[in-house]
Formats: sequence, structure tokens, C-alpha cells
Amino acid sequence: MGYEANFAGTSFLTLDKWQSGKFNFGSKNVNIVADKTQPGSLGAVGYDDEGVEAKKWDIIKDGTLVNYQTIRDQAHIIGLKESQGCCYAQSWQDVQFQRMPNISLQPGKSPLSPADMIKNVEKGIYIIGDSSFSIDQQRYNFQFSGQLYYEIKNGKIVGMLNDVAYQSNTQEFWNSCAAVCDQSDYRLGGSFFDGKGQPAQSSAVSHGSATAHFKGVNVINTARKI
Amino acid sequence: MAILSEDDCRAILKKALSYSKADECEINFTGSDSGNIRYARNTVSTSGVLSQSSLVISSAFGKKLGVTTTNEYDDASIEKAVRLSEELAQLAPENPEFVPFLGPQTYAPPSKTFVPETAAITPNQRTTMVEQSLKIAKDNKLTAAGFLQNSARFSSMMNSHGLFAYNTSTDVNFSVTLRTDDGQGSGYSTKGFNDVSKLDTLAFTKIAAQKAAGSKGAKAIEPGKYTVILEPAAGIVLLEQLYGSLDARSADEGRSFLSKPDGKTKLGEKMVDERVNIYSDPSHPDLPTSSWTSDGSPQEKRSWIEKGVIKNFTYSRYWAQKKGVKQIPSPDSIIMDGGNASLEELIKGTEKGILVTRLWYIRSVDPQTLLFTGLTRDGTFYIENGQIKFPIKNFRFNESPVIMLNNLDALGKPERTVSGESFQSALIPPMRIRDFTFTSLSDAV
Repeated sequence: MGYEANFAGTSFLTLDKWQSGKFNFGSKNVNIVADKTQPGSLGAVGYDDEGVEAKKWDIIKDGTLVNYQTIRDQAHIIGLKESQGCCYAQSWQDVQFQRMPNISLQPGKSPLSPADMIKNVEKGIYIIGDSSFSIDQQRYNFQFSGQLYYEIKNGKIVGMLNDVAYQSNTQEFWNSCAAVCDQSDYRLGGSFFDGKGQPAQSSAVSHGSATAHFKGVNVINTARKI
Repeated sequence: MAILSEDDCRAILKKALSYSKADECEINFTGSDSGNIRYARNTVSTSGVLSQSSLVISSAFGKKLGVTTTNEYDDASIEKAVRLSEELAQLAPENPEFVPFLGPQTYAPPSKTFVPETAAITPNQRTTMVEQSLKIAKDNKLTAAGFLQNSARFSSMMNSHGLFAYNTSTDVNFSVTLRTDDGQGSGYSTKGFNDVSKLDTLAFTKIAAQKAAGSKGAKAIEPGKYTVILEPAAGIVLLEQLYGSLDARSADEGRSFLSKPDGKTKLGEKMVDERVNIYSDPSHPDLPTSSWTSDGSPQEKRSWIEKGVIKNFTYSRYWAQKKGVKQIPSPDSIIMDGGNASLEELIKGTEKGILVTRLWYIRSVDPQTLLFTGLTRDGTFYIENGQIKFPIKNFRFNESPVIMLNNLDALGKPERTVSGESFQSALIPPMRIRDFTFTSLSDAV
């Protein structure tokens, strides 16, 4: 919408894409849910900072963009009768505004463990944990890295790797999602320092996921000599 | 809270200290008045004025420390806060790295950190300054989003060993992004000063407007190694990762790009081009800062990198004591020497290269090589035969400021700029760098 154009930026997920009802954000395996009620999450509240009761709703359903995140001022823009309760200020002395709720990739519905997932990979990298993260100002291009990297060959882990990072375009990446492990592998990660606004404000928020398999992602070697 | 005088601060600090029964007590008393206007979609979105202050009481018994903060200044409230800090200290475990508070210090005379005209900025003045910026946007059929903030502060401290320090400061910061109506062009400008008379929001918005209009219709060129000209607002976000990482302990413990495999460090070694000189100077007229730090340590003029050689590390008081050396606090002001060339002259002297207005979302990839990633944004242009030829699509980079400063080609005239990542100011020259590593394209405008 442009309110954050000077700092956090804007989004490629413009209203026309949602209005079409068929914007292909990811593969059919991709279901992303906003949930401000999730027990144990950093962003769980009873009510937001406009007094709106916390909710749970779909953002990406079977790969298609179906919804956004709104505060009271914005609900009417997407035809809602009430806010989704995404208003937040980091303290009494800050202005409350729209902030991301907990956003999580839903686990796959078929039984699938990480070990079974690895068995189906001929050549790949198994990444555990998160480290570096950087996105462009419209959320197209990203680069992430992990804590541990294991090389997979013919369905088996054959050793560890150093100096790995992966880069992609958001839509291409989520469309390359081949599988997501089941509920037994689902866990929450999160950040206490999601930043937005001027003056900048921090928000604590969680992201849940099970181990997921993405095909054909661009991996770079980050080793350099100084 | 009003900006309290030295005498007013001394009286409150003395009163608070009189209640102390701890082995040691140190009290920091700070306050600020600030105001801001935020705008987007060519209209004001939020604005406000914030007045705040705090009294932070640190009480220590041996190596046990307790800290409380209050903003109530009647005798009973202050005494209650002091007692609470003492209770907390008694409950706390011993901190093996605790260092006793400093005794009386001698500080350099205060530099001109406080400008009364900046402290006196009214909501009406802020409105006029933003109105000028919005007019440029509307006249050029562009959409503006920006932020203007000014503040005035007092900082003071006193401890039971007789240390007292006081300072006041002001600043005003401005940033603006202009976008074309079709969303295909974007331009940025940012500036910050102690003195509001130096901030011309009209002129700086015009720069952003030129970049927005000029960046429309960007072409994609292949990622790879390119000569780049980093404007100061782009260069600062990588340089601050270098001069913010000169910590002696990290180097000694093998966690830093300054560590060597044999357990030694690179202090005293030449790591970057010999034209690189980076220093701090609290009394610099274009970037005045306080002559003391929040723990009461004196801030002095100090060289960090001289002719490409690492001259100093920062030492916390604990690590300095452990190593038997003098404590060296982190700097509040960074100045990098440059030449006399303007940005335009640097462009003229470039056969083939890329002009970068802004870098953003800078994140560490490898602390051992000081490798960082991030992206260009809001004005990226291809240069050929000394002229800007066409706008190009944004890139992601993976680069180390150490490698960058080894590939230094030319330096322009330093200017005061503000980091879009840390919001800190520094005096940085525009830099022409060879072989800057771009690793992928971004569709973002």
C-alpha cells in the first residue's frame, strides 16, 4: 500500500494478485496460516492494540494467495467486516500500526519424517537451523543460510558442508516446494526483533514449520579469503 | 522533560547518591524531547512529540550488581529506587567480569553537540519542512514516503567514587523515498545534522526525485563483479560493519576477522588499501559527539585504521583489565578520510561501472571474513565512459568490507551521512571500488 515505502518497503503481493483469486504463490503443498492464538508462540495475544480479538486465518491456501493481514483502518479494503487484529505498538510511547502476526507453513497431511524425506533426494543439501537472512524491499529476492549443512547423495547423508547460502525469488522458491514433513516434525522458530516503522519498532513473532523439500534452489558458496 | 541544566542534573544525582548504602553506586540521568512527522502516499501518516527521562541506578556489593530505572523524581521515589537496586544486587549472583566504577575523570571540553535552534524546532517548522518535500513529489507526479525527526537530549552521570559528567546534544534526521506512479522508478535521499540550518529538505528531496525519474525502465544486466561507486549513504552500511567489529576480545578469542590461526591478532597489520584512514574525533566540527561514554570513560580522538593498518581495537573495561592494557571505548563518531573529488567527478572518471544510491537489509554471512549480504535499492545506474547511461535492476551482493577496501579505486570528498541500518551518522567519502561482487538479480523497485 506504500505506507512503509521509505524504510521496510512495499510488497510484490499487490491487491490485484489477491483479487484475481488465482495468484499462484506456491505449489499445492504450500499452506500458510496467520495465527495470533497459537499457544507457545511469541505473537500470541488475547486482543491486539486496537482491542480486536486474536484470530487464525489462511493466507496461502493450497498455493494460492487468499488473504492479507489487516488492522481496523484496512479491513474494508479487502471487503472484511472486521479487523484481523494485527495492530501492535512496542510500548505505551509508540504509535500502534499493522504488524505481522505469527505466520506458519502448515505441516503436510501425509505421514512423512525428515529421514523419509532425505531417502527421496538423489542429490541435495539438508539444512538445519537458521542464520543469515536478507530480503529485498518488495520481498522478491532473498538469501538465507542455516546453522548446519549436510550433503545428501542417493538418499543418504554423506557428510557435512561449509559456507552454504541459498538465494531465490520468493514465488519461484515456494513453487519448488515438493513436500512438507508431517505434524510430528512441526516446530516453532521466531524472532524478538522483527523491525518496521519510523521511528523503528520491534515486534516478537513466531514462524512454525516442519522440514520441507525444495527442488532446484540456487545455492552459493560463501567462502572468501581476506 | 525539559533539557535540564548541569546544576539541575547534579542536584538530582547528588540527592539519589545520598541514599546509597551499597559498596559502590553509579547513577545515569538522561532525558530528551523529540518530535517527528512520518509521511507516505503523499500525505502525513503519523506525527508526534515525545518527552522522556530516566534515572538509572546501579548498586554493587562486591561483584554483585543490581540496576533499577525510574522516572519519578520526588525524594521518596528516588530512595525507593535506590533501595530496590540494592535488594536486587544482594539477590544477584557474583559477576566474574564485574569491574568497579571509574573514579573522577578529565574530559575534553564539550564540542558543539547542542544547537539551540534544533532544540527549538516547533511542530509548525516540521510541517513546513515536510510540506517542501511533498511539493517536490506532487510537482513531479511522484509519490513520497519520508520521515523527519528532531531531538534534544541531556546526559549526566555521577558515582560514589566522585565521577560526574554532563552533556547536551541535538540532532535532526531526514529521509525520503520517491516512487513513480507506475511503480517502476524509485529514488532515495537521507541526511542528518546537529544543526537544523544545514538540513534543506527541499534540496534533498529533489535529489530523490531525480533518482526516481531516472531509474524508471531499469534494464537487467548479469550479476558478477563490477566496478561500483558507493554513495556515502550506501558505503556507510558496509563500513560500519568494519569499524563496529574492532573488538579486542572477539579477536583474542578467535571469533573475529581480526583473529589469526595461531591465537594472535591482526592488530598492527595492513589489511586494506593504504589510502584508507578511519578515525574518531568527538570534537570534529562536522560530526561533534560527547567527550565521554555512558560508563564515564573519556572519548578521545583515536585512529582505527591508518594507511590501511589496523591501529586500535576497542577494549571493554573488563577485557582491558584482564589483558593489562588501557580501556578503549567504542567510538561515537567515525570519520573516513577521502579526497577532493565530487560524486560527479568520480562518475566522470569511470569507464564502466555501477552507481549505487543505497544498500539495504545488510546481514552477516561469515564473521571470519566479515562477509555481508544485502541489496541495492532506490537508484542503481550503469555508467559508461564517464556518464550515467541507463538505470539497472537491483542486485543482491555478497561482499566483505575488508575485500572492498582492498579493491579501492578512488575516494571522493567525505560528507556526513546517516546509516539506514543503524541510524548512526558518520563522515564518509563516496568510494569507487573494483570487483564488487553481485550474486543475483532482484525484481524489486
